[in-house]
Amino acid sequence: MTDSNNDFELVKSFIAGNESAFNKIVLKYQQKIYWHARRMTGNHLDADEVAQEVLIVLYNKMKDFQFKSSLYTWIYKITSTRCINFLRKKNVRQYFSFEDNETIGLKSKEDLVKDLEVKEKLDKLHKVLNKIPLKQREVFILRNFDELSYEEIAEITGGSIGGLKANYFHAIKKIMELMKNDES
Amino acid sequence: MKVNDKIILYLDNQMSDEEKLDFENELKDSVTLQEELEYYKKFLNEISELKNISVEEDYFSQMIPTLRGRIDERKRLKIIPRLAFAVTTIAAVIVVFFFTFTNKSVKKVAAPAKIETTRNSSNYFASILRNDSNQLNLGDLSNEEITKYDSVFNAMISNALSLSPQSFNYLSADNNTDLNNMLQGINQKEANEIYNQLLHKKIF
Repeated sequence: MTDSNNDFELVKSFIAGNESAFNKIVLKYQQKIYWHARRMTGNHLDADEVAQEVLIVLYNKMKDFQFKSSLYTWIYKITSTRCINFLRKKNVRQYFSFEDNETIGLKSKEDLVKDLEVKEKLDKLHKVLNKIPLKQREVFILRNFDELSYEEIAEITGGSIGGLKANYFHAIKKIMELMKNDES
Repeated sequence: MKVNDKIILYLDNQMSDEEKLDFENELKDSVTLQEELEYYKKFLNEISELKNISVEEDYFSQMIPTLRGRIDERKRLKIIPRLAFAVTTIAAVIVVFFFTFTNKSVKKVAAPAKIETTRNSSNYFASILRNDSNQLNLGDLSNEEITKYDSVFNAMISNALSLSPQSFNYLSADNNTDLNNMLQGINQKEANEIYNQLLHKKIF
């Protein structure tokens, strides 16, 4: 049985009322959901909030899954949308100073990653990614971390393949410039 | 196209076979291009190292229980507004029902012990004069009603005294006639007749 067929069986089982099927789906995809949110938001607390939201949406909306795409793509679509909405709201809050520096500091301290070297690399990467537009950031993350093709990314984000390639191109270019400026 | 742009396309595998061949030939001849390419590759390799990071598994093992707790909480919170809405709706219906169907009875109960003077029939006025005249209060009556009472009263007196139409007209014509003037207009014989009639006839 292919992975996709297995996912469909789990979805059908959950829709039929089998709660443990949903648990299996969560176990399978929870890390992907969390890490995509983590790379988009840049810290553990925000990633945790987004991941929980995504799982609740999956629980409530699984009955609407039409089996037209893979479950993986559908989950990523929800995760991507939730991340972008979360970050846009966060930008507004920060603009109006709803989130003070103390809150931001607390968020950066609490983390799953205990290895300091890795944490430093993650923070450095996030600092750079935070300076590029959301759409470019998203394509960069899906391409480099999730290793998705442009066709798969187009299915998730709804964008055209040409547009996504352009976004990725500009993202890499901007990131490399920022890295060089940072080093100099 | 700038050198950096070519490197990005090359590393992303977005060049055609011909473009790739040209770039690789250019790469062989340029040390700067090779160094720049290595710099980009190094960056992308560092990114790759961040793909699979080992973390505390406790977090992921608790994800499902945390999720279940939140789902149950949301279900509970959904019930509260629905209950509040239902209670408010029921209360509103009861209040509307109360005011709609109890107002009529309130009106009936609150009616003063006044004589209702809105009727127009002579029989009604006659009934009032016979039975409830002690409750009549000129201040509560409109001019129209006073006139009607007067006309009915005059008619009753006329019938009771068996007055001729001329005498009746004389009686009803002058609204300002006082008792002394009336008595001066009546002779002794007529006065005795009236007195006897009043004694034997029940008018009020």
